[in-house]
Amino acid sequence: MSKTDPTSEVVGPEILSQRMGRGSPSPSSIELSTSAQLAPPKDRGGSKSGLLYFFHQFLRREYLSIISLIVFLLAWEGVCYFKIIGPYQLVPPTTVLKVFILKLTQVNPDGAYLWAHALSSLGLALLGFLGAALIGVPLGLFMGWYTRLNLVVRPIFDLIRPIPPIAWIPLAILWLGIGVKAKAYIIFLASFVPCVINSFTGIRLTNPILARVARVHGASDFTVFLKIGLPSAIPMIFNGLRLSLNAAWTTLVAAELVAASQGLGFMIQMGRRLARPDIVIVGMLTIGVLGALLSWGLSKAESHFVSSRRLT
Amino acid sequence: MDDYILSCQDLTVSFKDSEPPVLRGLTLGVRENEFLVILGPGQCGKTVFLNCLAGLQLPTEGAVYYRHNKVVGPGRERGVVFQKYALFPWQTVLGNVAWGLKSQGVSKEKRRAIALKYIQLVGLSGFENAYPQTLSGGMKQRVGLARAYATGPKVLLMDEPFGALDAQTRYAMENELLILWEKEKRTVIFVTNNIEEAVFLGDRVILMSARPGRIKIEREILIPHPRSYTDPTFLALRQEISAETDLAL
Ligand SMILES: Nc1ncnc2c1ncn2[C@@H]1O[C@H](COP(=O)(O)OP(=O)(O)OP(=O)(O)O)[C@@H](O)[C@H]1O
Ligand SMILES: [Mg+2]
Repeated sequence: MSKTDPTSEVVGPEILSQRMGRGSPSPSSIELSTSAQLAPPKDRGGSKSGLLYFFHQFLRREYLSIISLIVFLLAWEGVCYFKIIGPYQLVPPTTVLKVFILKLTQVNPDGAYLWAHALSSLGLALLGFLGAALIGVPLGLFMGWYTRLNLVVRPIFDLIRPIPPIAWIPLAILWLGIGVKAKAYIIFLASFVPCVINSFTGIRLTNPILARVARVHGASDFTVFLKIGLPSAIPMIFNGLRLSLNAAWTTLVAAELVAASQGLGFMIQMGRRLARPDIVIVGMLTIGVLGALLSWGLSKAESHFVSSRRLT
Repeated sequence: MDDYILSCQDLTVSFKDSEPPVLRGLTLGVRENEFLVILGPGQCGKTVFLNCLAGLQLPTEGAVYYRHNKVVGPGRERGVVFQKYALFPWQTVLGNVAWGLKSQGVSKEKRRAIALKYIQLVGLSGFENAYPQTLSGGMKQRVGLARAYATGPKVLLMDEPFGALDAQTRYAMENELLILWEKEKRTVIFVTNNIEEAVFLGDRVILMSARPGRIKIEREILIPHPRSYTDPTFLALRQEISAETDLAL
Protein backbone atom coordinates (compact mmCIF):
# COMPACT_ATOMS: atom_id res chain seq x y z
CA MET A 1 0.00 0.00 0.00
CA SER A 2 1.49 3.31 -1.00
CA LYS A 3 2.15 5.83 1.70
CA THR A 4 0.36 8.74 0.22
CA ASP A 5 -2.74 8.41 -1.82
CA PRO A 6 -2.71 10.34 -5.07
CA THR A 7 -6.40 10.89 -5.62
CA SER A 8 -8.46 13.76 -6.80
CA GLU A 9 -9.75 14.39 -3.30
CA VAL A 10 -6.30 15.25 -2.09
CA VAL A 11 -4.81 18.63 -2.60
CA GLY A 12 -1.05 18.38 -2.42
CA PRO A 13 0.79 20.07 0.40
CA GLU A 14 2.32 22.67 -1.91
CA ILE A 15 -1.06 23.83 -3.05
CA LEU A 16 -2.21 23.67 0.50
CA SER A 17 0.60 25.82 1.75
CA GLN A 18 -0.02 28.31 -1.00
CA ARG A 19 -3.60 28.50 0.03
CA MET A 20 -2.60 28.77 3.65
CA GLY A 21 -0.20 31.48 2.72
CA ARG A 22 -3.07 33.49 1.39
CA GLY A 23 -5.66 32.46 3.92
CA SER A 24 -3.65 32.85 7.06
CA PRO A 25 -0.58 34.93 6.61
CA SER A 26 1.75 35.18 9.57
CA PRO A 27 1.43 38.42 11.52
CA SER A 28 4.51 39.89 9.95
CA SER A 29 3.40 39.17 6.41
CA ILE A 30 -0.01 40.65 7.13
CA GLU A 31 1.64 43.93 7.88
CA LEU A 32 3.86 43.65 4.85
CA SER A 33 1.17 42.76 2.38
CA THR A 34 -1.40 45.28 3.56
CA SER A 35 1.04 48.10 3.66
CA ALA A 36 2.28 47.10 0.23
CA GLN A 37 -1.21 47.00 -1.19
CA LEU A 38 -2.61 50.00 0.56
CA ALA A 39 0.32 52.28 0.06
CA PRO A 40 -0.56 54.18 -3.09
CA PRO A 41 2.24 54.16 -5.63
CA LYS A 42 1.78 57.88 -6.17
CA ASP A 43 0.21 59.86 -3.39
CA ARG A 44 -2.01 62.40 -5.09
CA GLY A 45 -2.74 64.19 -1.87
CA GLY A 46 -6.29 62.83 -1.53
CA SER A 47 -7.79 62.08 1.85
CA LYS A 48 -5.80 59.15 3.17
CA SER A 49 -8.24 58.12 5.82
CA GLY A 50 -11.83 57.03 6.08
CA LEU A 51 -14.31 55.28 3.91
CA LEU A 52 -13.59 57.23 0.78
CA TYR A 53 -9.95 56.27 0.76
CA PHE A 54 -10.81 52.64 1.36
CA PHE A 55 -13.38 52.71 -1.43
CA HIS A 56 -10.91 54.32 -3.76
CA GLN A 57 -8.34 51.63 -3.06
CA PHE A 58 -10.94 48.93 -3.42
CA LEU A 59 -11.90 50.21 -6.87
CA ARG A 60 -8.28 50.51 -7.87
CA ARG A 61 -7.64 46.88 -6.99
CA GLU A 62 -10.90 45.31 -8.12
CA TYR A 63 -12.08 47.48 -11.00
CA LEU A 64 -11.61 44.76 -13.61
CA SER A 65 -13.76 42.31 -11.66
CA ILE A 66 -16.41 44.93 -11.06
CA ILE A 67 -16.57 45.87 -14.72
CA SER A 68 -16.74 42.21 -15.69
CA LEU A 69 -19.66 41.62 -13.34
CA ILE A 70 -21.56 44.66 -14.60
CA VAL A 71 -21.06 43.66 -18.23
CA PHE A 72 -22.27 40.16 -17.46
CA LEU A 73 -25.45 41.41 -15.77
CA LEU A 74 -26.13 43.88 -18.57
CA ALA A 75 -25.69 41.18 -21.19
CA TRP A 76 -28.04 38.92 -19.28
CA GLU A 77 -30.63 41.69 -18.97
CA GLY A 78 -30.23 42.43 -22.68
CA VAL A 79 -30.70 38.81 -23.73
CA CYS A 80 -34.03 38.80 -21.91
CA TYR A 81 -35.05 42.31 -22.98
CA PHE A 82 -34.58 41.55 -26.68
CA LYS A 83 -36.25 38.17 -26.22
CA ILE A 84 -33.21 36.30 -27.52
CA ILE A 85 -34.19 33.75 -24.91
CA GLY A 86 -37.87 33.67 -24.07
CA PRO A 87 -39.38 34.46 -20.64
CA TYR A 88 -40.23 30.80 -20.05
CA GLN A 89 -36.59 29.84 -20.31
CA LEU A 90 -34.83 32.77 -18.69
CA VAL A 91 -35.76 35.82 -16.64
CA PRO A 92 -33.61 38.95 -16.33
CA PRO A 93 -31.59 39.78 -13.21
CA THR A 94 -34.00 42.54 -12.25
CA THR A 95 -36.82 40.01 -12.09
CA VAL A 96 -34.63 37.62 -10.15
CA LEU A 97 -34.04 40.32 -7.58
CA LYS A 98 -37.76 41.10 -7.42
CA VAL A 99 -38.69 37.44 -6.96
CA PHE A 100 -35.95 37.02 -4.39
CA ILE A 101 -37.39 39.80 -2.25
CA LEU A 102 -40.91 38.54 -2.82
CA LYS A 103 -39.99 35.01 -1.77
CA LEU A 104 -38.82 36.25 1.60
CA THR A 105 -42.39 37.04 2.58
CA GLN A 106 -44.40 34.78 0.34
CA VAL A 107 -44.83 31.00 0.24
CA ASN A 108 -46.23 30.75 -3.27
CA PRO A 109 -45.80 29.09 -5.67
CA ASP A 110 -43.61 26.40 -4.19
CA GLY A 111 -45.03 26.13 -0.69
CA ALA A 112 -42.50 27.76 1.63
CA TYR A 113 -40.60 30.97 2.33
CA LEU A 114 -37.17 31.21 0.79
CA TRP A 115 -35.52 31.33 4.22
CA ALA A 116 -37.45 28.24 5.26
CA HIS A 117 -36.10 26.39 2.24
CA ALA A 118 -32.61 27.66 3.01
CA LEU A 119 -32.78 26.70 6.68
CA SER A 120 -34.03 23.25 5.87
CA SER A 121 -31.24 22.72 3.36
CA LEU A 122 -28.60 24.13 5.68
CA GLY A 123 -29.72 21.87 8.50
CA LEU A 124 -29.63 18.84 6.26
CA ALA A 125 -26.21 19.60 4.79
CA LEU A 126 -24.70 20.36 8.17
CA LEU A 127 -26.15 17.20 9.68
CA GLY A 128 -24.56 15.04 6.99
CA PHE A 129 -21.34 17.01 7.04
CA LEU A 130 -20.89 16.94 10.81
CA GLY A 131 -21.62 13.23 10.92
CA ALA A 132 -19.02 12.63 8.23
CA ALA A 133 -16.46 14.81 10.00
CA LEU A 134 -17.02 13.17 13.39
CA ILE A 135 -16.54 9.68 11.99
CA GLY A 136 -14.37 10.26 8.94
CA VAL A 137 -11.61 12.39 10.45
CA PRO A 138 -10.75 10.03 13.33
CA LEU A 139 -11.03 7.05 10.99
CA GLY A 140 -8.62 8.60 8.49
CA LEU A 141 -6.19 9.55 11.25
CA PHE A 142 -6.16 6.10 12.77
CA MET A 143 -5.82 4.49 9.36
CA GLY A 144 -2.84 6.71 8.62
CA TRP A 145 -1.16 5.89 11.93
CA TYR A 146 -1.93 2.22 12.41
CA THR A 147 -0.94 0.18 9.38
CA ARG A 148 -2.94 -2.83 10.49
CA LEU A 149 -6.16 -0.87 10.69
CA ASN A 150 -5.42 0.57 7.27
CA LEU A 151 -5.00 -2.92 5.84
CA VAL A 152 -8.33 -3.97 7.30
CA VAL A 153 -10.39 -0.93 6.34
CA ARG A 154 -8.76 0.00 3.03
CA PRO A 155 -10.29 -2.64 0.74
CA ILE A 156 -13.81 -1.88 1.91
CA PHE A 157 -13.24 1.84 1.73
CA ASP A 158 -11.75 1.59 -1.75
CA LEU A 159 -14.75 -0.41 -2.89
CA ILE A 160 -17.27 2.10 -1.61
CA ARG A 161 -15.35 5.24 -2.51
CA PRO A 162 -15.98 5.34 -6.29
CA ILE A 163 -19.74 4.85 -5.93
CA PRO A 164 -21.39 8.22 -6.52
CA PRO A 165 -23.51 9.23 -3.52
CA ILE A 166 -26.55 9.62 -5.76
CA ALA A 167 -26.37 5.92 -6.61
CA TRP A 168 -27.14 5.27 -2.96
CA ILE A 169 -30.53 6.95 -3.16
CA PRO A 170 -32.59 3.81 -3.83
CA LEU A 171 -30.92 1.87 -1.03
CA ALA A 172 -31.09 4.84 1.29
CA ILE A 173 -34.84 5.00 0.75
CA LEU A 174 -35.25 1.26 1.28
CA TRP A 175 -33.24 1.35 4.48
CA LEU A 176 -34.15 4.67 5.99
CA GLY A 177 -37.45 5.66 4.44
CA ILE A 178 -38.09 8.97 2.75
CA GLY A 179 -37.47 11.27 5.67
CA VAL A 180 -34.55 13.37 6.80
CA LYS A 181 -32.53 10.27 7.63
CA ALA A 182 -32.15 9.05 4.06
CA LYS A 183 -31.19 12.50 2.83
CA ALA A 184 -28.69 13.06 5.61
CA TYR A 185 -27.24 9.63 4.90
CA ILE A 186 -26.59 10.48 1.24
CA ILE A 187 -24.94 13.76 2.17
CA PHE A 188 -22.98 11.94 4.83
CA LEU A 189 -21.62 9.52 2.24
CA ALA A 190 -20.64 12.35 -0.08
CA SER A 191 -18.67 14.21 2.57
CA PHE A 192 -17.25 11.14 4.30
CA VAL A 193 -14.69 10.27 1.63
CA PRO A 194 -12.68 13.53 1.53
CA CYS A 195 -12.60 13.61 5.35
CA VAL A 196 -11.04 10.17 5.52
CA ILE A 197 -8.57 10.59 2.68
CA ASN A 198 -7.26 13.97 3.71
CA SER A 199 -6.90 13.08 7.38
CA PHE A 200 -5.10 9.94 6.29
CA THR A 201 -2.71 11.86 4.05
CA GLY A 202 -2.25 14.57 6.65
CA ILE A 203 -1.06 12.28 9.37
CA ARG A 204 1.18 10.45 6.94
CA LEU A 205 2.92 13.77 6.36
CA THR A 206 4.05 13.88 9.99
CA ASN A 207 7.73 14.72 10.08
CA PRO A 208 9.40 11.49 11.25
CA ILE A 209 12.10 13.49 12.99
CA LEU A 210 9.54 15.21 15.20
CA ALA A 211 8.10 11.81 16.04
CA ARG A 212 11.63 10.71 16.92
CA VAL A 213 12.08 13.70 19.22
CA ALA A 214 8.98 12.66 21.07
CA ARG A 215 10.11 9.06 21.30
CA VAL A 216 13.48 10.11 22.68
CA HIS A 217 11.58 11.84 25.43
CA GLY A 218 9.87 8.60 26.28
CA ALA A 219 6.52 9.24 24.61
CA SER A 220 4.38 6.20 23.90
CA ASP A 221 3.13 5.54 20.40
CA PHE A 222 -0.31 6.87 21.23
CA THR A 223 1.18 10.00 22.78
CA VAL A 224 3.20 10.56 19.63
CA PHE A 225 -0.01 10.15 17.64
CA LEU A 226 -1.83 12.74 19.74
CA LYS A 227 0.95 15.23 20.33
CA ILE A 228 2.88 15.08 17.05
CA GLY A 229 0.74 13.34 14.45
CA LEU A 230 -2.48 15.21 15.13
CA PRO A 231 -1.06 18.74 15.03
CA SER A 232 0.90 17.85 11.91
CA ALA A 233 -2.29 16.66 10.24
CA ILE A 234 -4.44 19.68 11.11
CA PRO A 235 -3.90 21.64 7.88
CA MET A 236 -4.83 18.62 5.78
CA ILE A 237 -7.77 17.85 8.06
CA PHE A 238 -9.14 21.30 7.38
CA ASN A 239 -8.51 20.80 3.71
CA GLY A 240 -10.61 17.65 3.90
CA LEU A 241 -13.33 19.45 5.81
CA ARG A 242 -13.49 22.12 3.16
CA LEU A 243 -13.83 19.55 0.39
CA SER A 244 -16.39 17.68 2.49
CA LEU A 245 -18.50 20.73 3.05
CA ASN A 246 -18.35 21.37 -0.66
CA ALA A 247 -19.43 17.81 -1.39
CA ALA A 248 -22.23 18.03 1.16
CA TRP A 249 -23.58 21.21 -0.35
CA THR A 250 -23.36 20.05 -3.95
CA THR A 251 -25.08 16.76 -3.16
CA LEU A 252 -27.91 18.63 -1.52
CA VAL A 253 -30.04 19.07 -4.62
CA ALA A 254 -29.74 15.39 -5.45
CA ALA A 255 -30.56 14.37 -1.90
CA GLU A 256 -33.64 16.54 -1.92
CA LEU A 257 -34.93 14.57 -4.89
CA VAL A 258 -35.95 12.12 -2.19
CA ALA A 259 -39.53 13.11 -1.53
CA ALA A 260 -38.85 16.50 -0.05
CA SER A 261 -41.42 19.11 0.80
CA GLN A 262 -38.91 21.80 1.62
CA GLY A 263 -35.37 22.79 0.79
CA LEU A 264 -33.59 24.69 -1.94
CA GLY A 265 -33.27 21.60 -4.11
CA PHE A 266 -37.00 21.03 -3.76
CA MET A 267 -37.65 24.66 -4.63
CA ILE A 268 -35.71 24.30 -7.85
CA GLN A 269 -37.63 21.15 -8.72
CA MET A 270 -40.90 22.91 -8.12
CA GLY A 271 -39.76 25.83 -10.25
CA ARG A 272 -39.10 23.44 -13.12
CA ARG A 273 -42.41 21.67 -12.73
CA LEU A 274 -44.31 24.97 -12.65
CA ALA A 275 -42.23 26.30 -15.57
CA ARG A 276 -41.04 29.19 -13.44
CA PRO A 277 -37.40 29.92 -14.36
CA ASP A 278 -37.41 32.82 -11.90
CA ILE A 279 -37.97 30.44 -9.00
CA VAL A 280 -35.29 28.09 -10.34
CA ILE A 281 -32.75 30.88 -10.67
CA VAL A 282 -33.49 32.34 -7.24
CA GLY A 283 -33.02 28.87 -5.77
CA MET A 284 -29.80 28.31 -7.65
CA LEU A 285 -28.34 31.65 -6.66
CA THR A 286 -29.30 31.08 -3.04
CA ILE A 287 -27.51 27.74 -3.12
CA GLY A 288 -24.46 29.40 -4.63
CA VAL A 289 -24.33 32.28 -2.18
CA LEU A 290 -24.93 30.10 0.88
CA GLY A 291 -22.30 27.62 -0.30
CA ALA A 292 -19.78 30.40 -0.72
CA LEU A 293 -20.65 31.72 2.74
CA LEU A 294 -20.19 28.29 4.30
CA SER A 295 -16.78 27.86 2.67
CA TRP A 296 -15.81 31.31 3.75
CA GLY A 297 -16.88 30.62 7.32
CA LEU A 298 -14.89 27.41 7.40
CA SER A 299 -11.73 28.99 6.04
CA LYS A 300 -12.09 31.82 8.58
CA ALA A 301 -12.33 29.26 11.35
CA GLU A 302 -9.41 27.42 9.83
CA SER A 303 -7.10 30.37 9.49
CA HIS A 304 -7.93 31.44 13.02
CA PHE A 305 -7.38 27.96 14.41
CA VAL A 306 -4.34 27.08 12.34
CA SER A 307 -2.44 30.33 12.57
CA SER A 308 -3.11 30.86 16.26
CA ARG A 309 -1.55 27.48 16.85
CA ARG A 310 1.25 27.86 14.29
CA LEU A 311 0.30 24.67 12.55
CA THR A 312 1.58 25.55 9.13
CA MET B 1 33.57 -1.88 29.65
CA ASP B 2 33.38 -0.93 33.29
CA ASP B 3 34.72 2.59 32.85
CA TYR B 4 32.38 3.38 30.03
CA ILE B 5 29.08 5.14 30.45
CA LEU B 6 27.99 4.26 26.94
CA SER B 7 29.50 1.62 24.73
CA CYS B 8 28.78 -0.53 21.75
CA GLN B 9 30.03 -3.97 20.79
CA ASP B 10 30.39 -5.16 17.19
CA LEU B 11 27.60 -2.92 16.05
CA THR B 12 26.37 -3.80 12.58
CA VAL B 13 23.41 -2.19 10.85
CA SER B 14 22.21 -3.13 7.41
CA PHE B 15 18.96 -2.15 5.78
CA LYS B 16 19.14 -4.22 2.61
CA ASP B 17 20.83 -7.57 2.28
CA SER B 18 21.92 -6.72 -1.24
CA GLU B 19 24.00 -3.75 -0.10
CA PRO B 20 27.02 -3.59 2.18
CA PRO B 21 25.98 -2.77 5.72
CA VAL B 22 25.78 0.89 6.70
CA LEU B 23 27.77 0.16 9.86
CA ARG B 24 30.00 -2.85 10.34
CA GLY B 25 31.52 -4.17 13.53
CA LEU B 26 31.71 -0.89 15.38
CA THR B 27 33.16 -1.19 18.87
CA LEU B 28 33.48 1.92 20.97
CA GLY B 29 33.42 3.03 24.58
CA VAL B 30 32.62 6.51 25.84
CA ARG B 31 33.97 7.67 29.19
CA GLU B 32 31.86 9.63 31.62
CA ASN B 33 31.91 13.39 30.96
CA GLU B 34 33.97 12.93 27.87
CA PHE B 35 33.43 15.13 24.82
CA LEU B 36 33.69 12.61 22.03
CA VAL B 37 33.52 13.76 18.44
CA ILE B 38 32.59 11.42 15.63
CA LEU B 39 33.89 12.73 12.36
CA GLY B 40 32.86 11.31 9.03
CA PRO B 41 31.97 12.21 5.47
CA GLY B 42 28.36 12.65 4.38
CA GLN B 43 26.20 9.53 4.19
CA CYS B 44 28.72 7.39 6.07
CA GLY B 45 26.16 6.35 8.65
CA LYS B 46 26.73 8.89 11.39
CA THR B 47 23.05 9.46 11.96
CA VAL B 48 22.34 5.75 11.91
CA PHE B 49 25.07 5.23 14.49
CA LEU B 50 23.71 7.96 16.74
CA ASN B 51 20.20 6.57 16.38
CA CYS B 52 21.52 3.22 17.59
CA LEU B 53 23.06 4.88 20.62
CA ALA B 54 19.80 6.72 21.25
CA GLY B 55 17.83 3.50 20.99
CA LEU B 56 15.82 4.74 18.02
CA GLN B 57 17.37 2.15 15.73
CA LEU B 58 17.98 -1.43 16.71
CA PRO B 59 21.23 -2.90 15.39
CA THR B 60 21.20 -5.87 13.04
CA GLU B 61 24.04 -7.38 15.05
CA GLY B 62 25.86 -6.41 18.21
CA ALA B 63 24.53 -4.24 20.99
CA VAL B 64 24.69 -0.87 22.68
CA TYR B 65 25.14 -0.67 26.44
CA TYR B 66 24.36 2.12 28.83
CA ARG B 67 26.69 1.28 31.71
CA HIS B 68 25.89 -2.41 32.00
CA ASN B 69 22.43 -2.42 30.57
CA LYS B 70 21.68 -3.31 27.02
CA VAL B 71 19.90 -0.53 25.20
CA VAL B 72 16.60 -1.66 23.72
CA GLY B 73 14.90 1.69 23.21
CA PRO B 74 15.09 5.40 23.95
CA GLY B 75 15.80 6.29 27.55
CA ARG B 76 15.72 9.33 29.76
CA GLU B 77 19.46 9.11 30.42
CA ARG B 78 20.23 9.74 26.75
CA GLY B 79 19.20 13.04 25.20
CA VAL B 80 19.42 13.92 21.53
CA VAL B 81 20.03 17.15 19.61
CA PHE B 82 18.89 16.49 16.07
CA GLN B 83 20.57 17.29 12.78
CA LYS B 84 17.72 19.41 11.46
CA TYR B 85 16.41 21.61 14.20
CA ALA B 86 13.39 19.39 14.80
CA LEU B 87 11.49 21.88 16.91
CA PHE B 88 7.74 21.59 17.30
CA PRO B 89 6.45 24.49 15.20
CA TRP B 90 3.22 24.70 17.17
CA GLN B 91 5.03 25.21 20.46
CA THR B 92 6.81 28.28 21.78
CA VAL B 93 10.45 28.14 22.82
CA LEU B 94 9.29 27.49 26.36
CA GLY B 95 6.90 24.79 25.20
CA ASN B 96 9.59 23.10 23.17
CA VAL B 97 12.11 23.09 25.98
CA ALA B 98 9.58 21.90 28.53
CA TRP B 99 8.13 19.23 26.24
CA GLY B 100 10.23 16.34 27.46
CA LEU B 101 9.61 17.26 31.08
CA LYS B 102 5.89 17.20 30.49
CA SER B 103 6.02 13.70 29.14
CA GLN B 104 7.99 12.73 32.24
CA GLY B 105 5.18 13.98 34.43
CA VAL B 106 7.01 16.91 36.02
CA SER B 107 4.64 19.44 37.59
CA LYS B 108 3.82 22.59 35.70
CA GLU B 109 5.70 25.12 37.85
CA LYS B 110 8.72 22.90 37.99
CA ARG B 111 8.70 22.38 34.24
CA ARG B 112 8.60 26.11 33.76
CA ALA B 113 11.42 26.72 36.20
CA ILE B 114 13.69 24.11 34.64
CA ALA B 115 12.91 25.21 31.09
CA LEU B 116 13.55 28.86 31.93
CA LYS B 117 16.87 27.95 33.50
CA TYR B 118 18.10 26.25 30.34
CA ILE B 119 16.66 28.90 28.07
CA GLN B 120 18.72 31.37 30.04
CA LEU B 121 21.80 29.12 29.89
CA VAL B 122 21.70 28.98 26.10
CA GLY B 123 21.21 32.73 25.97
CA LEU B 124 17.62 32.90 24.80
CA SER B 125 16.11 34.86 27.67
CA GLY B 126 13.40 37.09 26.30
CA PHE B 127 12.46 34.63 23.57
CA GLU B 128 10.50 32.24 25.81
CA ASN B 129 7.26 32.94 24.02
CA ALA B 130 8.62 33.15 20.50
CA TYR B 131 7.70 30.48 17.98
CA PRO B 132 10.47 28.56 16.18
CA GLN B 133 9.64 30.05 12.76
CA THR B 134 10.63 33.47 14.00
CA LEU B 135 14.07 32.34 15.17
CA SER B 136 17.34 32.23 13.25
CA GLY B 137 19.11 28.93 12.66
CA GLY B 138 21.51 29.49 15.53
CA MET B 139 18.70 30.34 17.91
CA LYS B 140 16.73 27.28 16.85
CA GLN B 141 19.63 25.04 17.64
CA ARG B 142 20.02 26.75 21.01
CA VAL B 143 16.45 25.71 21.69
CA GLY B 144 17.38 22.19 20.60
CA LEU B 145 20.27 22.22 23.05
CA ALA B 146 18.14 23.55 25.88
CA ARG B 147 15.49 20.94 25.17
CA ALA B 148 18.01 18.12 25.26
CA TYR B 149 19.57 19.46 28.47
CA ALA B 150 16.28 20.12 30.23
CA THR B 151 15.35 16.50 30.87
CA GLY B 152 18.67 16.00 32.61
CA PRO B 153 20.22 13.22 30.52
CA LYS B 154 23.62 11.81 31.46
CA VAL B 155 24.63 11.48 27.82
CA LEU B 156 23.94 14.00 25.09
CA LEU B 157 23.93 12.78 21.51
CA MET B 158 24.36 15.61 19.04
CA ASP B 159 23.90 15.01 15.34
CA GLU B 160 25.67 17.75 13.36
CA PRO B 161 23.90 20.35 15.46
CA PHE B 162 25.67 23.25 13.77
CA GLY B 163 25.84 21.74 10.31
CA ALA B 164 23.24 24.08 8.86
CA LEU B 165 24.70 27.28 10.30
CA ASP B 166 26.89 29.83 8.59
CA ALA B 167 30.56 29.83 9.58
CA GLN B 168 30.36 32.74 11.97
CA THR B 169 27.29 31.56 13.84
CA ARG B 170 28.78 28.13 13.92
CA TYR B 171 31.97 29.35 15.57
CA ALA B 172 29.98 31.28 18.15
CA MET B 173 27.82 28.26 18.87
CA GLU B 174 30.83 25.98 19.25
CA ASN B 175 32.21 28.30 21.89
CA GLU B 176 28.92 28.53 23.68
CA LEU B 177 28.49 24.80 23.64
CA LEU B 178 31.85 24.43 25.35
CA ILE B 179 30.91 27.01 27.96
CA LEU B 180 27.64 25.21 28.58
CA TRP B 181 29.44 21.91 28.79
CA GLU B 182 31.91 23.31 31.33
CA LYS B 183 29.03 24.63 33.40
CA GLU B 184 27.00 21.43 33.29
CA LYS B 185 29.31 18.54 32.60
CA ARG B 186 27.71 15.77 30.61
CA THR B 187 28.98 13.04 28.39
CA VAL B 188 28.70 14.40 24.88
CA ILE B 189 28.85 12.48 21.65
CA PHE B 190 29.06 15.04 18.91
CA VAL B 191 28.74 14.09 15.26
CA THR B 192 30.17 16.31 12.57
CA ASN B 193 31.65 16.27 9.09
CA ASN B 194 33.86 19.28 9.80
CA ILE B 195 37.46 18.57 10.79
CA GLU B 196 38.07 21.93 12.41
CA GLU B 197 34.94 21.65 14.46
CA ALA B 198 36.04 18.18 15.55
CA VAL B 199 39.50 19.29 16.64
CA PHE B 200 38.14 22.44 18.22
CA LEU B 201 35.61 20.66 20.42
CA GLY B 202 36.68 17.11 21.11
CA ASP B 203 38.56 15.43 23.92
CA ARG B 204 38.77 12.59 21.49
CA VAL B 205 37.99 12.33 17.81
CA ILE B 206 36.86 9.20 16.03
CA LEU B 207 37.15 9.21 12.28
CA MET B 208 34.61 7.09 10.43
CA SER B 209 34.88 5.68 6.94
CA ALA B 210 31.94 5.24 4.59
CA ARG B 211 30.16 2.07 3.41
CA PRO B 212 30.61 0.15 5.52
CA GLY B 213 30.90 2.65 8.35
CA ARG B 214 33.84 1.75 10.55
CA ILE B 215 36.28 3.45 12.84
CA LYS B 216 39.28 4.50 10.78
CA ILE B 217 41.42 6.30 13.30
CA GLU B 218 41.04 7.60 16.81
CA ARG B 219 42.90 10.56 18.37
CA GLU B 220 42.95 11.98 21.87
CA ILE B 221 43.16 15.75 21.75
CA LEU B 222 44.98 17.16 24.72
CA ILE B 223 45.12 20.81 23.67
CA PRO B 224 43.54 22.79 26.53
CA HIS B 225 40.48 24.94 25.95
CA PRO B 226 39.98 27.54 24.66
CA ARG B 227 41.65 26.26 21.54
CA SER B 228 42.80 28.48 18.75
CA TYR B 229 42.37 27.64 15.10
CA THR B 230 45.88 28.95 14.45
CA ASP B 231 47.65 27.14 17.24
CA PRO B 232 50.47 24.99 15.72
CA THR B 233 49.37 21.84 17.56
CA PHE B 234 45.85 22.42 16.32
CA LEU B 235 47.03 22.79 12.75
CA ALA B 236 49.23 19.74 12.97
CA LEU B 237 46.38 17.62 14.24
CA ARG B 238 44.05 18.92 11.61
CA GLN B 239 46.64 18.08 9.00
CA GLU B 240 47.09 14.61 10.36
CA ILE B 241 43.39 13.83 10.38
CA SER B 242 42.72 15.32 6.99
CA ALA B 243 45.50 13.21 5.54
CA GLU B 244 43.48 10.19 6.63
CA THR B 245 40.31 11.33 4.95
CA ASP B 246 38.98 12.47 1.68
CA LEU B 247 37.08 15.21 3.47
CA ALA B 248 37.49 18.61 1.95
CA LEU B 249 39.12 21.08 4.28
N1 LIG C 1 15.88 3.66 7.45
C1 LIG C 1 16.76 3.46 6.46
N2 LIG C 1 16.50 2.58 5.47
C2 LIG C 1 17.40 2.35 4.48
N3 LIG C 1 18.56 2.97 4.37
C3 LIG C 1 18.90 3.87 5.32
C4 LIG C 1 18.02 4.15 6.41
N4 LIG C 1 18.60 5.07 7.21
C5 LIG C 1 19.78 5.35 6.63
N5 LIG C 1 19.97 4.63 5.51
C6 LIG C 1 21.16 4.65 4.66
O1 LIG C 1 22.28 4.68 5.45
C7 LIG C 1 23.27 5.52 4.90
C8 LIG C 1 23.84 6.41 5.97
O2 LIG C 1 22.85 7.33 6.35
P1 LIG C 1 23.10 8.39 7.50
O3 LIG C 1 21.92 9.28 7.52
O4 LIG C 1 23.42 7.71 8.77
O5 LIG C 1 24.37 9.16 6.98
P2 LIG C 1 25.06 10.42 7.66
O6 LIG C 1 26.48 10.08 7.85
O7 LIG C 1 24.30 10.84 8.86
O8 LIG C 1 24.94 11.48 6.52
P3 LIG C 1 24.84 13.07 6.65
O9 LIG C 1 26.21 13.58 6.84
O10 LIG C 1 24.26 13.49 5.32
O11 LIG C 1 23.93 13.38 7.79
C9 LIG C 1 22.63 6.28 3.78
O12 LIG C 1 23.18 5.87 2.57
C10 LIG C 1 21.18 5.93 3.85
O13 LIG C 1 20.70 5.70 2.56
MG1 LIG D 1 23.20 12.54 9.37
